[in-house]
Amino acid sequence: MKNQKVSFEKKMRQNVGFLFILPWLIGFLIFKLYPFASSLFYSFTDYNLFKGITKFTLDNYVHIFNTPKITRALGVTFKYAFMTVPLKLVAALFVAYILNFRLKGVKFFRTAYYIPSILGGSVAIAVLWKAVFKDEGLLNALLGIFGVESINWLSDPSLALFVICLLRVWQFGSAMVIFLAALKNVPEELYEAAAIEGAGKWRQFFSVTVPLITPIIFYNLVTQLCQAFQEFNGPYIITEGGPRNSTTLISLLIYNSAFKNYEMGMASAMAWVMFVILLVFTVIAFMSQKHWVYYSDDERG
Amino acid sequence: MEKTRGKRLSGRARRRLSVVLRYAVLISVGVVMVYPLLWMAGATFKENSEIFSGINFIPKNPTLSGYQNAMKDYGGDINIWKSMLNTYSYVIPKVVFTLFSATITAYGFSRFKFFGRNFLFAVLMSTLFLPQVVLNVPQFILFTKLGWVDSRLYLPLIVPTLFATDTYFVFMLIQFMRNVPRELEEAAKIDGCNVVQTLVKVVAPMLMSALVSCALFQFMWSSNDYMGPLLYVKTPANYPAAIFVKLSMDADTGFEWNRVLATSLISIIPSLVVFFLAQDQFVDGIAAGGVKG
Repeated sequence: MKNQKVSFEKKMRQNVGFLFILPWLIGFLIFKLYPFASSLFYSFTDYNLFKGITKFTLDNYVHIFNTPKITRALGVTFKYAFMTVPLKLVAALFVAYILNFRLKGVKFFRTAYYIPSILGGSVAIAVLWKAVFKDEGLLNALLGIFGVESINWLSDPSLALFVICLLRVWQFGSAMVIFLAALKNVPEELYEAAAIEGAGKWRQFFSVTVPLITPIIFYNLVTQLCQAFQEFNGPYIITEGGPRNSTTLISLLIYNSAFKNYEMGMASAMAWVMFVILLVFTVIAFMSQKHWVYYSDDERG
Repeated sequence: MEKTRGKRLSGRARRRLSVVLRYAVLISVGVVMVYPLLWMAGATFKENSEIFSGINFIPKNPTLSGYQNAMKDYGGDINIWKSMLNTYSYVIPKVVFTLFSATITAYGFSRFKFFGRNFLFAVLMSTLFLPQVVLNVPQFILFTKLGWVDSRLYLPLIVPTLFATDTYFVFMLIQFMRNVPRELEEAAKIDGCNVVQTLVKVVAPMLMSALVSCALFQFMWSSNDYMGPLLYVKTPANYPAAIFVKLSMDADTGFEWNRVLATSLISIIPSLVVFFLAQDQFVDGIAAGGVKG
């Protein structure tokens, strides 16, 4: 009898746990899994929002790899991600390392560096970026003071993408705060031990600090990569993909194809190509972990 | 003896030099981070002819014309204040609903065992890496079929948050709950609290700082969000600030930067105020969960 009661209670408890996560599960099925699966399905159709589906086809994928504009956008997306992510992580780690020394006013600096991350995603900051980098903008006014000739930051196809990258790099604050928290957990004794063995500050940084925070570096790397591949606001607002498509990231083409031309099948196919590429990079990152990421619960660190 | 003293002095000098160097780096990085914002604030009070004539942020002949022009209606339907009201009319429900749904989900995952828990948890974690770009098209079609696109209530933006779709917050709360001792919950159970009472009276109060962090981040991200309203808000009278600011920039032929920058600045003032009031909470939240952004 008692046993039965216990098992009933246990069952109740199990169901209760399930009830708590049920809203999430429903949301996942409707707003994540269903869209995820149907976009794969749409990618093999000629789905147009107004004409519906008339046939199943591989045309979208063939079209993607035969259209220079699209393959170029994929290339630009790569370039964007592989410029932005390393620059941002290096800036974040470097500044966090300096902030981690006991200096006066650290909190003040931390706040100052963090503000761009909080505001950076907003349209207002994209507008500001345009004001800074436009041909008669703030930066060229500064260069003028030093007698340097104006640079066409946004109208030169070889520079515009870099300016868009800088907007992201400028928002290194959140990655920095994460690094800072990780650096605080590196035991002081390790630095002392390294110092006794004659390691200078740089040596200490590379042989003590970096190995100990590799899990955090990894975390930041993967999340930043995911975001960089999806960047939309910067190029859409500042350069509108130009000049000469030099800042046309794949997300802009997906947007145009889906929400300007209503070619839902084509847009889904492009989104899936991007997704698969991102997935490959994420998997590579996860697989590479065992070569360079040290978790504290195993002894290799 | 002499020699060691000499060495120590030079060591001290070196240390001083390195402190100076560090401050030099911190200050120059700080200037790059903050000066554009300061300059922006200054430019809103400048005459248009002055804005790009130098790099000084203090206006020579301060004027309010930028702000006066920023107040003007756009096509009679929308102005900056209305658009900000619109923004917060969906941001605040999003924040509240996210807190509820994410707490419930995190509680379920971190405190109960049930069939399929580990599998579902893996699913939850993998959705953290699921790019929104892949979901946009079918979500748009779904919301179109439901008749939610351009709804005055911003249903496509708000309703998903009832279901903890921003899984990042669930993940963050689970991380926090791991560090909350279970003894109190055991005690509450012995005192006759049911699971819901335990959540409301015991767990939620202990999670308060994490919940504040979640609320702050959702507030910022939802206020900044541009893609959501771009897809789902079509009627100009319903435009949020993000869309309005973009419009006001496009509408300009390139001469009225004081108005454009004033509009931009007004639109981020609530975010700035919230940030300065709660910056420690941001930093704590970000450090504990690890955050995107």
